[in-house]
Amino acid sequence: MNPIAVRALGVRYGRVAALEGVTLDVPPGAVWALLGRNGAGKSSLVRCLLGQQKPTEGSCFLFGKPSWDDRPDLMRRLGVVPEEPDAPLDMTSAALSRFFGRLYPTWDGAEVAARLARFGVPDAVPFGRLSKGQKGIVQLALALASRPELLVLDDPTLGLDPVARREIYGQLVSELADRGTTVFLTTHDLAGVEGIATHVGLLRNGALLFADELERLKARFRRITYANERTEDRTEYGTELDGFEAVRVQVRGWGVEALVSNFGDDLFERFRATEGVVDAEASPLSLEEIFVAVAGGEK
Amino acid sequence: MKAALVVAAREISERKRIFVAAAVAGLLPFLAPLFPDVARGDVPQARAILATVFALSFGIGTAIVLGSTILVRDFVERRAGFYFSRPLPALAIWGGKTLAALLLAAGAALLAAFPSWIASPGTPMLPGSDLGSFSTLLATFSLAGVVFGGFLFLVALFHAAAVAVRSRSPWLVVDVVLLVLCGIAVGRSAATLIREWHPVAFLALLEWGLPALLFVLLVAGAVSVAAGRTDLRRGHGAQSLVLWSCLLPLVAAGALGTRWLVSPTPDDLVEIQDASAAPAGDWLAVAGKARHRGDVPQPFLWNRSSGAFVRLPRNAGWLARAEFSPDGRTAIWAALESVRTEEWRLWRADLSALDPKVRATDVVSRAHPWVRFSPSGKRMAIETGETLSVLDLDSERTIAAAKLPGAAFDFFFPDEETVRLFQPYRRRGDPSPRPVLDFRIPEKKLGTIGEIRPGSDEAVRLQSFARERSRSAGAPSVEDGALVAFDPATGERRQLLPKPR
Repeated sequence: MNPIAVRALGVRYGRVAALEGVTLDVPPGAVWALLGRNGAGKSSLVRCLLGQQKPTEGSCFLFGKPSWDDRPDLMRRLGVVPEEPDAPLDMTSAALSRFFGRLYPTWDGAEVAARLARFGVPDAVPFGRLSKGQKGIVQLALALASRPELLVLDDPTLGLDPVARREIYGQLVSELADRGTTVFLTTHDLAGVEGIATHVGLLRNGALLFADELERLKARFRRITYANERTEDRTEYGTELDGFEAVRVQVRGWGVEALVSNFGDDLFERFRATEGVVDAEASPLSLEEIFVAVAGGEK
Repeated sequence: MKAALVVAAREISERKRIFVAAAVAGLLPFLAPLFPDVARGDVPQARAILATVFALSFGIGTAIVLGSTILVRDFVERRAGFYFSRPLPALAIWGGKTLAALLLAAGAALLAAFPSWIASPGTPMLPGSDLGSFSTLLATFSLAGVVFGGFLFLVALFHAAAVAVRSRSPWLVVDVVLLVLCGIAVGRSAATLIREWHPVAFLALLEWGLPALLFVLLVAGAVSVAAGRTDLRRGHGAQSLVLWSCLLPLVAAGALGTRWLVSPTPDDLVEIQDASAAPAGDWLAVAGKARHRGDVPQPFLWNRSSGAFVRLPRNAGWLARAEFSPDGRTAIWAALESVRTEEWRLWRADLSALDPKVRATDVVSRAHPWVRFSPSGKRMAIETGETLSVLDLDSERTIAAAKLPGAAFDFFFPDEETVRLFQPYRRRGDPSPRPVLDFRIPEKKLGTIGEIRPGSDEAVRLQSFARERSRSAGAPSVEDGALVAFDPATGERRQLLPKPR
């Protein structure tokens, strides 16, 4: 049973559709990264997923149970890191750990203390006085201390400096290596997530543009460069790209650059054999490049 | 339950400084001796009053502030996920926070009052009563319940108001409109109960209405959190649905119950307490206890032949007394127009028709108007405090008026052109004779025609007889029950009937 299943999810705020017909599955053990620009609907999806917001249409299931109906029970199996640190500002990390210890039967307070100590986060300082990076570490440590089967992180590195980001991802990687926890995260941090994600999905204007395994996705997307000898300045293009699903085509000084989303070796060989196509090369794209190309030129 | 207690404990721990502030405020009443106007013997009382003021201020203030913020601020600042992403049922979150607000308000009030109570346990909280003294308070659970309930009411009320205002949802318009409508309905029901003098029902309205409102507010708050969770707009919708689907039937039931209570018919009368017949015709003025309407008498005009009736108002305890015209075809009475402004209006019933026609006249006054008909029934004299007016009955226009030299005059028409006025009661400690006045309508002149010089405190009533209008009779005196008659012209004692054996 998949830890997360989202079916035809729709959320409307008045006349504005924040999410429309979103369907996705997160298999056990996956690190599923949901990408999208600000306002794409990521946080709405997370709130629905956590049973905090009732969808206008469709449903969200956690471990096969509707998250709206069974939220309290399901939350025992989840660790959550919110987009904005939401812990009370006057509570110390130690007090937070004690408080959560009363709510989770599997709470490991010693692990929280050890984790915070490892990163030098003081546990007797009120949460409100910690730096942004320290708050992120505390939130993640608290989310992991109940030994969750599923970790949901809503843009956990938003606004953090590179060191803090690295620490958080480092914790995540070690957690995954230790326990094989399923992770669902939304993020803008494409470079950071590229190293740990197994699956990615892209949300744009409330619709899920694609959702796939990261490797398969990266295999599908390629940058193809070539020159066209049939044209005078070798930089125009005609029907030779028709076999590809071109996400973006740009004419450069030396020729043509196309980003395609259905790359295949056979297809590329046929393309290379097209009359007039010379110097054709295909190179892989980073997740960030794919995101920029598909999401609209801006992270 | 355990989850709610965990939430409550955390919320209280976050706000424990309220207790510190309340404890400090509890020490301030000990500065009472430094106040210049406090005499040495009054210090315990002054301290108790200050402690009461601080306790209520802390309790009410804390209840209002926490009611408005303890949940809603989490939603507005997007911190509600702290609880909602934990294994906590929505009801436990709402219950824990509400319990924390209540305990903080009550605890702050107790801490602010406690030092003064300990210092002088027998001193009452309110001067002139033993209410709230330390020993009494401990024994009086009902008072503690009322105070506790009051704080809970404020918490629930201000939570509901904060949800409505902070959600910025269109439901706010619905809330405001229905609140105004319900306010008007409740206000009118309350005013009707006061005007129609049903104090027991009015108190019952408060006694049952406020707890019912508290219950509805609590349910609406719980449903709002359960249905909306972190979505404040959705929570507001759920809150409004619960609130109004409960309150509208309750208010409607209250309004219908009030209407039923003040609409008895003569058939409901189970005991006649007063009855008088019109000078002519079949109409009677009757008053008596009505079934299920309490002990207060219900007044009617009732036609003994046809059974037709007119219910008279109860005027906030002033039983309306209808004045019949000599031909028995018209009845006039005064009705309290507004409890707030204490304005009165004369009402008139045309009793000649089979179905009596009742209508308001244009005669309005700030004091209860008293009415008498002229012998022909074509004129009526109206006394309102210190003014006498004579109206033509058909046109209801004033034909003469005069300012009276004092109040508490009774009056009658000895003939068609004259209104005679006298004061039935001697003012306490005033031995001076009371004037008997005649107001001549054609000349519009008020003149003294004699005086009443009773020997003791007896009440006097001048009255014209059907045939001998020049004679007057006095009511029995207090000391021996003897009947005394006075000359209307001179006020001299004419007759003294011995006490009946």
